[in-house]
Amino acid sequence: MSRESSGAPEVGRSLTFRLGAGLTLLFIFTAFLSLFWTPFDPAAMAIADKLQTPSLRHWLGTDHLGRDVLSSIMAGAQTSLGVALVAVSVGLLGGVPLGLWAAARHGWVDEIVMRTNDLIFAFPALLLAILITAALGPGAMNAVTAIGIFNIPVFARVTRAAALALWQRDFILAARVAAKGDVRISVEHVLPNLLGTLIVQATIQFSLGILAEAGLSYVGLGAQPPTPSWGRMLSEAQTLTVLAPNLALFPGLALTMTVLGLNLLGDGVRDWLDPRLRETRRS
Amino acid sequence: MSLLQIRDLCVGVGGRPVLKSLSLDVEAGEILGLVGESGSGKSMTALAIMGLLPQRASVSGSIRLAGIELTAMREAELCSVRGRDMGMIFQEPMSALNPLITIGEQVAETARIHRRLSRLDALGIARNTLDRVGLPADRFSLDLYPHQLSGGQRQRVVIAIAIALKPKLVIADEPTTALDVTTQAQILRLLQRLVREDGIGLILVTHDLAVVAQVADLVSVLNDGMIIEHGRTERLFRSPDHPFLRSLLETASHRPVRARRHNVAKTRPVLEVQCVVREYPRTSTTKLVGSGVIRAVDDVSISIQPGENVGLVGESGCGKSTLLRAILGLEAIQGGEIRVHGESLTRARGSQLRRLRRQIQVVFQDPWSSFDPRWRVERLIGESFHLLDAPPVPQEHRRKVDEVLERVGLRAADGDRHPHEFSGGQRQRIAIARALITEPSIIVLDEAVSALDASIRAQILDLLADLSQRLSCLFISHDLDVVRAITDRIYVMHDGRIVESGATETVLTSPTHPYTAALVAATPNLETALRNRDEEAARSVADEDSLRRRSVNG
Repeated sequence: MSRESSGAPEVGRSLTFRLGAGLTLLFIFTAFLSLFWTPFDPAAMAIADKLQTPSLRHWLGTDHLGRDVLSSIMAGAQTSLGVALVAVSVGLLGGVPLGLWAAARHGWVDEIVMRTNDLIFAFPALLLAILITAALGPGAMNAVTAIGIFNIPVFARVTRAAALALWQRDFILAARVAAKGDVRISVEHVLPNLLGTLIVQATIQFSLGILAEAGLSYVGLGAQPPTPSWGRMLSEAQTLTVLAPNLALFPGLALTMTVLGLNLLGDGVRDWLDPRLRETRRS
Repeated sequence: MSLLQIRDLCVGVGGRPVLKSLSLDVEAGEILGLVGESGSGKSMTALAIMGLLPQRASVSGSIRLAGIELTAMREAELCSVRGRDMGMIFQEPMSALNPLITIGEQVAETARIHRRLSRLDALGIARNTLDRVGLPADRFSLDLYPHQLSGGQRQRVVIAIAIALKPKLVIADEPTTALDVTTQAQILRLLQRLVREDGIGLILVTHDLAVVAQVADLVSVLNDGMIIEHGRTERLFRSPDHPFLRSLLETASHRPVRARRHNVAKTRPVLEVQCVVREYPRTSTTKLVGSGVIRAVDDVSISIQPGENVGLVGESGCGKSTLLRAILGLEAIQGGEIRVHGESLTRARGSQLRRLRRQIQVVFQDPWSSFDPRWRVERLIGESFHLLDAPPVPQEHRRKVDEVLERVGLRAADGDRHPHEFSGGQRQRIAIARALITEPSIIVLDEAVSALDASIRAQILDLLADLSQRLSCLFISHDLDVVRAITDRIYVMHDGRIVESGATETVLTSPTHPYTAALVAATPNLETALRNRDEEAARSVADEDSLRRRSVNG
């Protein structure tokens, strides 16, 4: 039968991908901009200007201590980005080698690695995060550690599953005939062919990381004042919802848009890398 | 009026014409062989009849089943026709069956959907149908799952699903390609019997001319979306009109020219496999602890002389792939020894092992999965340089790759391209180039031409014949025709053991072991099939004559 050569949407053309990439870029840009410039100092209090509604001077209004909401959101993006980035990196650096190792070795290595993962998986993530922060004290770094540890089994599983399928392919057999070892084959053949899957998983974990950080900050275990954080902005706004709904609205919106953007980006990338679409492209 | 009548059928996918004004007829009780190479449009024809074309396909022309126009039907109407009036048999029985549903339920499903029968009545139909396709109740309960059956038995279930409601038309798309030859022979006999009993019109889509010559009453040859020749099987194969069909027939029975070495000097063998045993622990689903072992390779000995072409034939599961992995040094063996140029591969370590491995290279069956899709051809071919103690410097690397690419009939510039830019045949040339780069003394070819079209296969066989003047080849294959065409000696493997060996022609023309005899008898062969047809025709004429004489006399 003939293989079709056209019909697979290019990555740049899909609306999902473009919307996702746009929102994600906006988020990253905001975080970087806040390093150099925010309309006001996000920590500067001005009690006289408290609880203002959006105006030309304060675009998104001010909170109960007179701090500029826009500046806080911008600086909060920086915290979210930092925490999620480190958490995903911890997951990638810990999980991917474990997954590759388990897939390459089979047998007891596989069993031990995967059962340990199951053990971590079985433990409620938030509970462990609370335990860690309770033991080591609250703070962004401890939140990162807690979120990162829970990303390790996720990446290990995804990596192992995809790598096992690759190990069945003849080109891996060819590499073994060329006397290449497990490590070399994993690095040269398996890992590059897994990149797509890992990128998709990373975007998902990234958005989950942002949510987890917001959650931890919300209960007071994340970034501590004066470091701005979306989660803490939400918790502070909670008591004032009736008085000043915009205080909860804007950080909530920022959080939603960012997570939505990352998920759309992940979906877009996944559609592009879908094996069925890939089949049609190979002729 | 014909059972199936196709007139001026044109199908285009993405603006590209796939079928060009195709017309054909199928009568009830007849087998129509639809043959052509990959990309000729034969599967598209099958899908068009079933109304299963891709959504963006454009269709014009007419398809009439028992006088009813199918192209004008909406999807809901088509659904009522599919399964009831026409059935389909697919190539790969494992993926055509749902692994989570029992075979009884799967056969009964068609009856329940179309006749709205109760579950019990539908299962009754399923039982009858499974009996008819050779899966009797005493051994094949309705409660079995697909994974509990062999490939051939699964294909019988797929056939049962297709014929459960006694459809008028059945389309079989390469129904035996995924099966062993002895199983293939049984399935073909079954299809012939069902066609005779139920008066089904069967369209047999295949690339295998020998299969068509064996079973089809009529043949249509497709090329580039057009039927270029159509006629009764004997006429078509005995005196083909169209040059394309003539060349197709030539390539199908192609024998590469090479100097056969019947009397190879008894020098030290390139490869010696001595009493090799490979065992796997038996995994049991009921016990936690493994009980006993499975001997995949049982006391096998093989030797290959320099410049000799040796075949290893056997059906799936006979242990040939396991033996291959042992020879390549990829798996430990539990007994015996493998020697390369007299040195033990089994005991070699470090640089000695790499030196010996350099001597044995391999070409795999599937040209699509043999290459890392992300690597360029130069890097892919150069991967085996890892076996050298000192890998060549970049310029030398490139020069050697260019050289070997030209040796296998590709261009030096092809080194810069990715594997997906090549056709199946070209990819197999790249695989051969990769095997040649370390200048091995033996190449193992694991079903290396099975996935290729006849014309491409002929070219690759020529290339291999040309190369084998200088090196030894071990052909692992289930295809006796290919093995016969290119090897000097063969080993026949069955249930992990070598059951027969000797000069290829001797073994295949007068086999001594019953398994070899069965294998030879089951292998479809164009000439034999046509000869049988002639004999049958002569017999029936003689029968008619005697009948007439008797009636005149009586």
